[in-house]
Amino acid sequence: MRVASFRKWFFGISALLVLLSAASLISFQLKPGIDFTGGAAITAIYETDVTSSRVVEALTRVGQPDAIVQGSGNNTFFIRLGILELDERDAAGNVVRRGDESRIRDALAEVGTVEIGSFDSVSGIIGSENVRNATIAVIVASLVILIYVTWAFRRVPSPFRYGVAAVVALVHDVFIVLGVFSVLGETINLEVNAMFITGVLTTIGYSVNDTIVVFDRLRENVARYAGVSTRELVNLSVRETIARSLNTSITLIVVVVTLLLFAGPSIRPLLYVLLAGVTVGTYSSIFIASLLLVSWDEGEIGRFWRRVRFKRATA
Amino acid sequence: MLRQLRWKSLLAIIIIVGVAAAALVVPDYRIPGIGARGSQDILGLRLGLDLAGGTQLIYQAGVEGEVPTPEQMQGLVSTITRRIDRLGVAEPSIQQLGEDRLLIQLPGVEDTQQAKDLIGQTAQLEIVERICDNATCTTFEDRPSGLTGGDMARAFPSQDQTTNRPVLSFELNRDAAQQFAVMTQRIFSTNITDSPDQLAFVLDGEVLVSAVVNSPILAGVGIIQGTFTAEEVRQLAIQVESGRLPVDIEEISSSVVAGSLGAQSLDEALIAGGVGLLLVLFFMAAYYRVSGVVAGMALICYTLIVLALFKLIPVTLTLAGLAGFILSLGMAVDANILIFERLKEELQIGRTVQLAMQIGFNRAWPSIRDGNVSTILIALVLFFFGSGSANSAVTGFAVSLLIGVLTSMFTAIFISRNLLGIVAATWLRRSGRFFTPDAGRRDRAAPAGGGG
Repeated sequence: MRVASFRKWFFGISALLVLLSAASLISFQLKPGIDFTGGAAITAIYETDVTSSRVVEALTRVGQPDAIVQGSGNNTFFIRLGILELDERDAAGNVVRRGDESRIRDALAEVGTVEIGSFDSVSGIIGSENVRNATIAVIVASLVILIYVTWAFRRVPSPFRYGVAAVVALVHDVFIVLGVFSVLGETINLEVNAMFITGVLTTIGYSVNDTIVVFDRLRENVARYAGVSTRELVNLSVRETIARSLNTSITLIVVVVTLLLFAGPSIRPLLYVLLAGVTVGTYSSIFIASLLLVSWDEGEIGRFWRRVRFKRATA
Repeated sequence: MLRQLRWKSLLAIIIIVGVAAAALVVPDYRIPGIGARGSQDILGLRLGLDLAGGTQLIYQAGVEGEVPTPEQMQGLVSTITRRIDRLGVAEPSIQQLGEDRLLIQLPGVEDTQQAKDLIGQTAQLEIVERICDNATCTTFEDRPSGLTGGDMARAFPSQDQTTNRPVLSFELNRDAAQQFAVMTQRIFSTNITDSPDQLAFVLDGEVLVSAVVNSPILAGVGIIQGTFTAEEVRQLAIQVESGRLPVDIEEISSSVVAGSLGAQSLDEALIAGGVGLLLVLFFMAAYYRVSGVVAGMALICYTLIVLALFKLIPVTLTLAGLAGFILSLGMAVDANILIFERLKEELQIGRTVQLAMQIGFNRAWPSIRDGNVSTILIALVLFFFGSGSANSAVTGFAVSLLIGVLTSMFTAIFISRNLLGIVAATWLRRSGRFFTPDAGRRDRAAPAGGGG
């Protein structure tokens, strides 16, 4: 296997995937869940046969015409609402006017005998805080990884390249996962919540974990075969490590798929992210991170930028 | 000598796994010096509200960017704790979150309305005249004085100037001082002539403190003496203050999960975990043969140790935490895979099984270490993200990921390694084929142009 010779193909595939993700993100965008926008989400389980239109009607009567009601069989409905109004209280704290929650509960009970499986309500303050915290978390995680990989490979020539290559692969993975999610948001209404961010960060950790396996072998081969070109060393290292890269990912994917098949809907966003993330992460650690080192070593990255700049200047 | 060491390690493994299994099988117990562990739930694990069912509420205290003082927050916590106690909830938890937030967890409560109504009320402090009902003053007839928390200027802990004992000092507003003077004068006079009537501070219908009047309080400034400790007086002051100056609170997040849905989530997760574990065991045995079976045994040990750690630390298991644990089953074998692939390489260049194992372990270690450190770093970032957002799902996931990674390093290095060493000491060592499908194939080409 001489992966290094085909690096332009792999870079091409990745560029295409990243472009598709960008296009999808621009046109569909991500569907933020209540964790980020504020709002309410309800699981209502009816004992008798009930249609979703009757649930929508009932909610419209209590001032929730924008409710999104999704049936999931067994007379179970997932209901998504905007930010709810709280109970109004007088100075002594006694309720003078009931807020949305109790009116919604009453309305749902009018449709039929119902058990409210879950009722989550998040205010706008918490939503914007979560957005800020999630952004900080992703940035901090990327920086930590860059510093760590650079440090872990401090004994090889130009360790910073290893750090940058790992982070480029990581950003590549995150971008494609976001792209996949924008498509899922459009097609199956999958929302992005705090567990989604958790999945993205776990993907980052796992992607780097995988990249390190290949880099570690490269580090060893660099020390063993003095004077051999980076291209040959990468070829050798990828060949030697591909079975373990694939096997470590397979065991994780097996578990993720099992969870997807058996576990309930609340952790599904996390599992979809992991499924996409682990797959892309394995691909990128084998074909992107290490091949970037080859391109860097052979001066292609510098040439590429010069060409881009030249084209821009002449255009 | 080497063999002896191996058997000692096996004994250590058996003891560790045995302790872990015992810690799980016994539902609940008390560890001397540490505290009680376990619960009535599955394996005695502590289940989060999303699995056990219950209500979680987060409140913001203070109005429009005004940050309440730490004393006000303490007052709020104690007032709400007292109200929740009246609801009769088993094991409620009321905690301060950051500077100005409250996290309230009510296991088993599905009727949130009642809880919210009770929490949202403003604390009501009343000053009450207590008329002695019988000769020995064991029962009283309470008479509202018309004075409430609004008439109170402040309350604070101080010391009696002669005895140096902790006392509660309080001051009334100027308008109320006159009425208070008349009332205390009246109580004081009955104390001399008749039965010892008392004066009490009552918060939300519960008597905080009740005292005899030793002298009329004419200027609206008084102290309450008693056999208080400094801490008791401090608590009292907080409670009286919380009645006097209610901090506005507003609900910013609420989450209710029905017990039935929680139980269903738990069942589903357990099935997923069981099936996932079996599939990973099957894959490892099929691909790596004897080593794979050893990895499987190590994975079962891993499962027991992690669950025991969850119980002993203790970690409250949420659905996300459980998912994190199940995912870690898929990651825990990674270290084994790295070791076995190294082992395979060493067997392919014709080393004996025992030597290949030793070298394989040593060479695989750097990548296991570096790879796991990156996951540990991410788990720490996640933990801070989760606790900053008070998102128990995210923190739960981070904690089980962290415990999982650390334990998996231990099981790979200690348990897999020693078990393999023991296997390699048996007749199985005679052929590398028991350990890898393509042992002995010398196809490890040197790199072209290599100077190896």
